[in-house]
Amino acid sequence: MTASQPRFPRREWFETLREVVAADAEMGVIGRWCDLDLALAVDDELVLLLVRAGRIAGIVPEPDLGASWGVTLRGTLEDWRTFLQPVPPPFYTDVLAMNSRVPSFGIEGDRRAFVRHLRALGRMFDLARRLGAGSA
Amino acid sequence: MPEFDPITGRYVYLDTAGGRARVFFEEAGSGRPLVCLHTAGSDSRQYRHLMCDPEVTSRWRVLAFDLPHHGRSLPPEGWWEEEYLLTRDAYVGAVMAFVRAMGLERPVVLGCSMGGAVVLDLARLHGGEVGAVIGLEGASKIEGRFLDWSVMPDVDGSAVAASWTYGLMAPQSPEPSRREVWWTYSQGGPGIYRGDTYFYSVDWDLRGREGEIDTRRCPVYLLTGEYDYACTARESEATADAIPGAKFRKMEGIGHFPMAENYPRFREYLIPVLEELEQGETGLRNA
Repeated sequence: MTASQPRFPRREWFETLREVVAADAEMGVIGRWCDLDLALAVDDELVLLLVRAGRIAGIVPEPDLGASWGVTLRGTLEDWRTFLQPVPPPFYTDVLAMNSRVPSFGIEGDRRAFVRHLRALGRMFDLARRLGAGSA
Repeated sequence: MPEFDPITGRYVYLDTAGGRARVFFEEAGSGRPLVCLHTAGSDSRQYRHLMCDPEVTSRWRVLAFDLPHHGRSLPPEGWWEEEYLLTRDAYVGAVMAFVRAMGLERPVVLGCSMGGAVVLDLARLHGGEVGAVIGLEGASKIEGRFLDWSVMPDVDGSAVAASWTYGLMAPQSPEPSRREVWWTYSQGGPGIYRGDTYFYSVDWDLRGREGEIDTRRCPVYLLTGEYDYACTARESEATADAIPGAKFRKMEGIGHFPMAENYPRFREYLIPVLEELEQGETGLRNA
């Protein structure tokens, strides 16, 4: 992506992801049954994505105490930025790979729900990688 | 004239520990036999590119069979009353039953993932009958892969097994090939991927016994993709280091399914091994 792209994990980056996911033909085929509240933890920051029918229906930065969600993907900013490289190094190509081989990264919460929606979430993260981590 | 693939497929009957099995195999080429073993939960279609490579098939008779429960090899009668858990003995037995039934003389056995693991025990236990082994993405022990999610009723085991293994591939591998791996994985029977991982993640453990392999009798080659996170190149290298005479190479820009996800890249590593084996065989004949 170009230097004008918003930088991960700013809200504008997630807004762009929302548009890309909504426009994706494959998500249109496979996402219909994917409903999940998914939080991305990036160092100390938290962003909650409300996924409905395979689309990002809501983006909640720093959800308050009244918010609940199913799954948290927790990593350092460095983990996420490495993951979002167009061609990531070994062990950073996939959320499951990072969960398995990157000690600072983990899948937390309702992990079975993550597995249940793996196909659609895998596509969402493929699209996120096409977006890249943005410029400084 | 119709355009044919050079691969032909048919069935052979094998006597295995699970009973008499009608097993599907594909083959192409002529020459020294090269028997190819598919990965957990998949089938022999993974080797279709290798079987269409004239540089290989002009000198090798390439054969790949579907283990019972996989691809076009049906499970034995009574499968519905028995949890499928592949053991080392059953796996080694099935491979040797195929080798013997087909009358293959000192074949080279090439296996990937669980196939890359079992070839080490084929070398250890049947080094007289097996001429050499090439293990892809194999090591003395692969931990943490035997999991229950694929048989949970709220999980679509076919799609999830395919998506679970999709991430094992290198991002550089061509997308159509990676999608094909996804497709073939989605066609495994319920619980079969899980039951296969039982072999290499629970039942089998070569650690401490690597030295029992005599590579003068049965040469051992281990090739592992740098992007494989289930069996890392470092793990395969450690296994090769523990087997006197074994050879190891890390494959750059390749993941867990070399022959299927990026055959053009994989053959850069495979062809030199096959050539070395051919030279070794010539040397043995002339000795």
